[in-house]
Amino acid sequence: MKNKFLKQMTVSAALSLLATGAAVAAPTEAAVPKGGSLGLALYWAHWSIYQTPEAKVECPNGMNVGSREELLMQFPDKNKVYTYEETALNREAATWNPDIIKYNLPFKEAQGKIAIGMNLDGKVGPNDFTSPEGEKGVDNNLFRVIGCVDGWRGPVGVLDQFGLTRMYRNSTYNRILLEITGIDSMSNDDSVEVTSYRGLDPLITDATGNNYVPGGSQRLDMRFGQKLISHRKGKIVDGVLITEPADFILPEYAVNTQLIHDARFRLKLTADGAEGMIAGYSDIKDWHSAFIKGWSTIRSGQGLGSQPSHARALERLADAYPDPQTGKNTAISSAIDARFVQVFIKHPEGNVAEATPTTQRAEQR
Amino acid sequence: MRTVVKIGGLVTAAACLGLAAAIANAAAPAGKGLVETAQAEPMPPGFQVVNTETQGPVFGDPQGKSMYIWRSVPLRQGKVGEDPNKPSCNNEKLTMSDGQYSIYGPALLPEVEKRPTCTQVWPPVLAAADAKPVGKWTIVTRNDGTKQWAYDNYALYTSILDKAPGDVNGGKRATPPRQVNVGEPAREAIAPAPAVPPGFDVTVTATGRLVSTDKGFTVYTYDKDSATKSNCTDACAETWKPVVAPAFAQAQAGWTTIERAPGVKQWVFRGKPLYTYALDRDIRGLDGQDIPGWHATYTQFSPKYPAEFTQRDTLAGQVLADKNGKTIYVYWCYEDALDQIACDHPDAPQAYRIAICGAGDADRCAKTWPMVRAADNAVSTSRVWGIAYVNAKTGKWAKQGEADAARVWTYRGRPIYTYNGEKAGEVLGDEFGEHDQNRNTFRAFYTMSLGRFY
Amino acid sequence: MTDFNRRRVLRGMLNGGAVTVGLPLLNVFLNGNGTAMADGKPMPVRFGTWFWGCGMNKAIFVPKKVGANFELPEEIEALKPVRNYINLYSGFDVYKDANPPLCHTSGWIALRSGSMPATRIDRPLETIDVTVANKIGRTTRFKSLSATATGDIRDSFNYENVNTPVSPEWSPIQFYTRVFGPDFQDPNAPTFTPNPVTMVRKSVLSGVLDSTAELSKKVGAEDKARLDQYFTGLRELEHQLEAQLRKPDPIAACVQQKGPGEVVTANLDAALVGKRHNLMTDIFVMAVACDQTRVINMVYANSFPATARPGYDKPHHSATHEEPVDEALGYQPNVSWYTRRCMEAWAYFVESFTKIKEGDGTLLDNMLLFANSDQSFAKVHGMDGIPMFTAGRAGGKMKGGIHVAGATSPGARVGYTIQKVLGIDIASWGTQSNTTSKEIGEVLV
Repeated sequence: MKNKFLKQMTVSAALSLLATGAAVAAPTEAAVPKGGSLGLALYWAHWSIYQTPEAKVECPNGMNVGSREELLMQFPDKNKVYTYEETALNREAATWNPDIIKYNLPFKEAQGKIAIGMNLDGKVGPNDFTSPEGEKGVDNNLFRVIGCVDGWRGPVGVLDQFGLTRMYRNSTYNRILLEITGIDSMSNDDSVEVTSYRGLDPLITDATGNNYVPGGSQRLDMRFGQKLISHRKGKIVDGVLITEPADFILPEYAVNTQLIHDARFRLKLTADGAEGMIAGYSDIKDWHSAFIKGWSTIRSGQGLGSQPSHARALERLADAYPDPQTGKNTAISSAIDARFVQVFIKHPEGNVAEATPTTQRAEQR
Repeated sequence: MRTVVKIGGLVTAAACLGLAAAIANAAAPAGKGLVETAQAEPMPPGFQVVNTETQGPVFGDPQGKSMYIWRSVPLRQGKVGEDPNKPSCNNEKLTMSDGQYSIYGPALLPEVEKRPTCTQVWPPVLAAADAKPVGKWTIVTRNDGTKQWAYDNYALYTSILDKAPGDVNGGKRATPPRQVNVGEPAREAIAPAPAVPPGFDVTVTATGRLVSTDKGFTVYTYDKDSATKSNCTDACAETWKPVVAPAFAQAQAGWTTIERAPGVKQWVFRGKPLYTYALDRDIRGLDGQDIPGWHATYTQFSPKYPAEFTQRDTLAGQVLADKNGKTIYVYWCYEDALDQIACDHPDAPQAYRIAICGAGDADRCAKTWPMVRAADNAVSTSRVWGIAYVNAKTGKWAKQGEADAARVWTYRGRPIYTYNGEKAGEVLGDEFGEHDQNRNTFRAFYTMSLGRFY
Repeated sequence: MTDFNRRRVLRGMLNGGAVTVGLPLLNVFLNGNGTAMADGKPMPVRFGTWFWGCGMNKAIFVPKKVGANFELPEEIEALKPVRNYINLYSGFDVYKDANPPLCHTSGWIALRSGSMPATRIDRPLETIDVTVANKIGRTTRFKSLSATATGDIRDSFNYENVNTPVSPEWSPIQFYTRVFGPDFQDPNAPTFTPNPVTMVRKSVLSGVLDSTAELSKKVGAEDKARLDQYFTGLRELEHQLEAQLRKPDPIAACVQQKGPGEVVTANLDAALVGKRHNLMTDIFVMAVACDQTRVINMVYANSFPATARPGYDKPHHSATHEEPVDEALGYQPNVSWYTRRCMEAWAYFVESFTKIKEGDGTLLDNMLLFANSDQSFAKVHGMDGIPMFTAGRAGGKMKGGIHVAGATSPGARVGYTIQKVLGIDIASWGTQSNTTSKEIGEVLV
């Protein structure tokens, strides 16, 4: 697994250089797919965290504790009998209503000058990071929130391993697809369209079940997955798909979605798929909701992640999209390392928008 | 549907010949009045099989009341429930939580002074002094020396939430989840095995009792087939795989076979050949029902939901919605004490729900998660969907005319809710609660779910 | 020895209840040089499975040396006394094909049946012990015997099919009663099962005193010594069981009240699990030595092990996910503690069979045991290189003390090799990508 992370860094390096205009040897031209359309299915995603050995740089004060340890901080008296309401129910109330009950427990934000991500606002500000490859103005405040939480860090962080990664691999309801259309050249094309959909089919793997094989087909969920359809324009530059900022919604755990404002894709197109980064401003309510629904308090202990404390950190570090009434920021700059495998997208025959809600299903007699 | 079918004493094997009366509709196409049949099994005198609205046939005590066992369940920290032949539900009031499924260590439970004992909520099914074991029914001795009936080595209890024969309001949620659910500490009603051939299973879903293969794949029928002929062949049979019967398969009530090709027999249920759907990837999927002409197979249907509700598509599947299109939610809860008493009905402490829905503030709860009011002229046409008066603020039972009393719909004896943090057609309120949604949680009422749970 | 029946048991009555005391394979039952039965049939080879949950920490479990004389990294230090009897299999994989990766489930099913489950409730084919028992278990009193140290009857990693798990004994005293109680079920018989308390206090031996006296007179010195050893062992077991019956409920004694963030549970305290495991092992040894069964299955901890460590708030399974990998050590220290307890139990299990003399060697020489887990690195539900062992010489057909590196070949090769050694003639074993017809030659004599 460590190797894959190094590999990821190398790809990011190439992409970053492209972004800054430095010259990179152009890859050999891949064949233009049939009809100028390329289908991609997301199979691996990881909230980008710049990691140094033993986290010495980004977490000089050590890693964060989880809910167990916080409980001991809040209720240290072992001889006292506390009530369930003041301990458990209060913490659950804080977890599920973080805007009402707020804990003020110590939380270690990731430090340092370097972070993985993109320059989302076009500016180079004093709080911005520099990417590992030298790109300035990188906006990634989510890194500050999760960088020193063991569970979010690769390669064996439990929240990471079982979160985005497993979700996308195993569950068809989290099958997010990109269809790139209008491709004239896989190396350089100044105008393509990219549409996202939710798919319906599992991904093809090799016998081990661990490696994804291109060439599978994906039907589109035009019935329940309408919310996940979004469009953006883009271009291909030296084999890398770069899109304009546009809202993108990532499905998570069936009932959750993660809205990413101004999402940009920077994906190196390969023979078998694509890999690279998705960056944008992630809605913090969505982010927190996915965390608390996917990981109950006890399970978040697996990643040593306290949900109430995450909520405070998200609120503190949100840096975009202020709420018109309260003025508080509702989204946080973030980045996702992402890998896609090529699939053939099967558009439904006929006008599927006609599919009515009450056909066939769940007959009641 | 409170049909009581007494088959106590019948020891005939699975041929179920004696049950013709209960399955008069076997040959009729799917429709009203379908009743599931159970395999005959010897029972102690007075015990009976009771048909229920949503759970199929269950065992009833001599008063017809459903009976429950509580097999031990491993939770993350330890286990709760009973070991075989060791009843542990006693007349002892527990006051402290136990923390078997959480990081929360022992703490004083809410409303502890009013807290009932385990047996006040789960009265044991006592055995007379001269009672004799029959078949899988044995007798165990409780810690106070009294004798209790047990089934399959697990002690039996009734639930105070069950008011009449056919009620199954105690214990487990109505529908089982798809995934292994480490952490749901629920009692379950005991039931005879369904009268299905080997290789099949019947499970409760929102729509009814769904027939699947024993590996969990939903079984479907095709409008164009007849009792003697399958019209799904060639390419069709690639997508719709016939459920093959072994060469020596025995017909039984409702179940026959046809020979669809030389030497290849296919199961037929109530006059329709059976198939699984190749594109159903997960157990108990319902994707096949989207294809015109194809239907999932049910032994019986659940009562229809209230007329003012609808079914509505959302991101995560199809849900039940109120007249404004807002997703309907159920709420379930178990106290994390060793007796795991339910905390999700109006008689129980409301502190759990109010912590989740209102951060401890009952007013905020009533605004954010209001109960679903019944229209003035609405009437309940089943037991599982009822109408009652509940105090909208406190969540406790109320009388008509009292302050804050609301006339609400209930499901399995408990109020249902909508979520004001979302718009119609959304399910943001789903899985809203603690412990992997196994306790103290709001759950959307799915009629067809894409996700991990029903 | 015409006085004694084919099954070589002594039957008697104890307080009106029937007791059955099997006899070990005494020399009188064997041929001249103790290498075969008196009638020329080969010594029976017995088979067993052993299960532990949540795998290993590879860096401190898998030896660097491959082949013979492998070293014992710290997590398997406990295997020192049995190192030369066991083979360790690392780097063998299970292939999912199109099936989902079901945590704590797919791995052990693939290794024990050669086939991957399609859903969580699916149980494809049958586990290897059922196949073996159908071949070699038909002439013994019990076709197979299974037990779990977890106290939960549902903890079984053996099944005949999706509807029929092999049901384990979960109580040592009930297990003992089953093996030494009446050996027939006749509701009309005037006898009934004696009270287990009586059995352990007075000893089943007191119910067969006349027969043992007679037997002792008729056998040679070596056999007398064997009988002595056997009866002494049985008496010791009974003392331990009696002590178990006298003690107060360990759960009540061990639960400690801590602050809201700490819970200690003793439901499955590791010491209690170990004790149960060892008692059950002792019963297995006797049952096997006395040919009451030729197939045994032992579960030390299930695939979501709830074994608890006093003073540590996470049981085994929770710890695998919640305990961080210690950067200095390179592994999870508490998880490793649990794994080491598993290995101690495995060592006890294997070694126990070496304590019984049989023919010109020990009982273990005529056995083939197969141990496996459900995951490799449990923290991430890893299924690559799930650790496995075999133990015993299988009647002279298997070597011991070999570390086999699988190089990602199918783990089903172990099950295939086992069946070939036990004389089950199959061209291949397993389905889809787990199909194999390649024996593991390194461990065959």
